[in-house]
Amino acid sequence: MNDTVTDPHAEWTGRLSDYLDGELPPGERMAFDEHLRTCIGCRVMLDQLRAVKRRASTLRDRDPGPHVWAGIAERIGAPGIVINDGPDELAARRERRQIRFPWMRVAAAAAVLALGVGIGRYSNGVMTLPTKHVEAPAPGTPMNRDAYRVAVAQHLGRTEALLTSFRAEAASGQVDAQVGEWAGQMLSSTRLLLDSPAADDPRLRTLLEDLELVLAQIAALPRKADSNTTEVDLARRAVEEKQLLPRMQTLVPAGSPATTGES
Amino acid sequence: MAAAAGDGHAFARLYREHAGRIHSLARRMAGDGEADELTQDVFVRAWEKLRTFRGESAFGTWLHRLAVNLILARRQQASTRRARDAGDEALEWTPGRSAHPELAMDFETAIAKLPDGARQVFVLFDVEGYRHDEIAEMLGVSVGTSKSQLHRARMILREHLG
Repeated sequence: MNDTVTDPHAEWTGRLSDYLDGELPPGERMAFDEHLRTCIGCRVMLDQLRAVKRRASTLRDRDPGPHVWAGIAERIGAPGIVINDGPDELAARRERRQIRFPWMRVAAAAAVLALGVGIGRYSNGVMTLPTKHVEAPAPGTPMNRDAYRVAVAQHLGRTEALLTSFRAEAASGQVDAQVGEWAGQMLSSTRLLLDSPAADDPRLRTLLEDLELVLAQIAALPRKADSNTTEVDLARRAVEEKQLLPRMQTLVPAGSPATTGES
Repeated sequence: MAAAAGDGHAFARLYREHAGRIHSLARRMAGDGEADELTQDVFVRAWEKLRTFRGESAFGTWLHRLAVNLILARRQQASTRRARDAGDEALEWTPGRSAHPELAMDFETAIAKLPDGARQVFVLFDVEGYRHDEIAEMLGVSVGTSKSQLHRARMILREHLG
């Protein structure tokens, strides 16, 4: 049995990563967008690949054991030099180590400042992103409604990445402190979006309010969250019970330019 | 740079700053069993070549590229040896199981179990942020091969996200 002959998606499934990475030429990207509107299989697979990509970008570095430096020191003729990191130095160094992907550095302003890359608008309750360019509103003026929708789409895309990482780390039994910090940042931008006069869609408001509660739970996790599994479990269950990921994906369908993780 | 003039203490400070990233790169590219030795080799090579570092890029970038080249060269040598010794099936060799299972995370373990080519491209693209054209040059493959290996890796790894 040759699946490639009968599978109507075969033409696209092999190019999902190209699409996700922004490697498709504009014409093919538009055709793929069209395909995604009707193909739930490709949308699901695209979401899975996006989650893999995001998970990869959140992997933590791990310091080698002291014997590694000892071997180096011996070989470079400096055996007397000893590296003896105390916990404070290790923690400080981990703080200094930057996450390599800029989309991880989410701040409250990011959702608002990332305007002009496209427009979001609701159509039958689903957010779609047309191609027309929109200018950011002048400072001090009310936020343009379309720009608000773009900001929401980007915010939900980033929050989805956070919740995906949190869920994976919770399953592995250890939630990194940086996830909590990240949630704290997303919490600020969630409140910013809720307080906007443009936040008049009841379904979106409910989603943002639910997100705010869960983000607050994650942000409040102790730094060593593995030692407090009850709190981690409560947050994890809240994500599942409130069906946050499916609700976000319903509002912002897969493949929306604002959510592909590339800007 | 004091380390380039042979200051061991200055070099130790550079090591402290960059060892985690280099060791993690080596572990993901070559497996836990080889990561320590590769990390040592990278830093010894860096010590030897520090005089050639002209500051045209950040030291971390220079060191990272040196590490990628050294790790890939070692992997290539090992593959060639295994192919010669054990036949073509050895080309699909994957790194051994974690020497520190208590520290291994599910996703990291899944990465370690990827076939060599897919794992290298995945680590370089999705973890380290290199572009396909850079990866293709480093691995001596076409851009298309780099893209298809990345897709292959992601398709395998998606099964490991809860």
